[in-house]
Amino acid sequence: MEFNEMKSTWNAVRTPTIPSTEIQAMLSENKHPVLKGIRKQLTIEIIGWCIFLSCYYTMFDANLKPLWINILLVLSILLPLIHNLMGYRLAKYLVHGANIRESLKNYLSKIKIYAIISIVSRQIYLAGFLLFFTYGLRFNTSRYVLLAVIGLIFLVQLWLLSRLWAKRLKNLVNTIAIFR
Amino acid sequence: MDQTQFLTCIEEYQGIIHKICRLYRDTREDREDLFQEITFQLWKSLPAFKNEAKISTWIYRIALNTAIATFRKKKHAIEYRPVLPDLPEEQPSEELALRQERLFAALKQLDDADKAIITLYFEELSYQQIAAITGISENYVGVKLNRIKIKIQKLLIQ
Repeated sequence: MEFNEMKSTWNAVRTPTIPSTEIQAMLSENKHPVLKGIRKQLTIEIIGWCIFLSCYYTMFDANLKPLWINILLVLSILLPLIHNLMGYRLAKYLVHGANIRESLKNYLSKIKIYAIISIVSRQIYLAGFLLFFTYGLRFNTSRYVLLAVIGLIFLVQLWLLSRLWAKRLKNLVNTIAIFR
Repeated sequence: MDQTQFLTCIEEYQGIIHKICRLYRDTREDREDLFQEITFQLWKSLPAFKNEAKISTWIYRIALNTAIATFRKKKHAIEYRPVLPDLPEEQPSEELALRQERLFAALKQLDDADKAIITLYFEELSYQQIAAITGISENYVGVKLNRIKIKIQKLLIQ
């Protein structure tokens, strides 16, 4: 296929027509597929954690545990919530510059911080819970085995999450490199 | 520009957005999501739009930026449908449809950045306009286009 032929083939592509009423609906944040998903997740999480925090103190003998363990548990819950809020803002504004290259570079630096927070908050969340529920426990062989299994699950999660972010960041870095 | 003017503008230029969605996404569902995402980002970026730039240039920039910046979902299983509802009423000839399939199959194999540059070239934008949208120099646009042309020719032969 010659290049002019490619151009004419491209220009001959017929596209569907979306009426303006449907386009208007797309402008609403409530109809946005990604933002809607994040909002739903956030609402469920906030309600769930509010219920947990209102009854964990008496239900799980938190009064018998040191203050710093309690603070760590609350922090481990708050961090993922803050992380989700950051994700919401990041997904809402994708354009950060006067041209594509500049915009992607700025977006990359934001998404790098988001990725680090994503990994760290997940680990703090898991560690906070583990520490809270294992503090003061007497360990025997079977409990050590269980702890080792949980630790292994944490590590696998950490590895999977890091791999996912590494892949996403690599794609973006490669694209920016081509725009150099 | 108010919302009514914006909607008229999107209606007029939606063909561009559809082509970008077809190039950057493989499934119908993903294309629809990307179309919505681009429209949303255009609306959010509207306050920063300076009238000194052509509206079409601005749409290309935001649309390509959004297509590159959004993360793709996991690949879907092939879905079989009795009809293809998002196709335009008037169908291209069989030969043209085949040529378009071949062209898109080749273009889809390019990097995201190369897809953006070739899209702008196909849409008859000048080197100067392509440089302004992408943020690379005019000279480099020429160099890149030559490389992309060779890549596409190779992909079409395969």
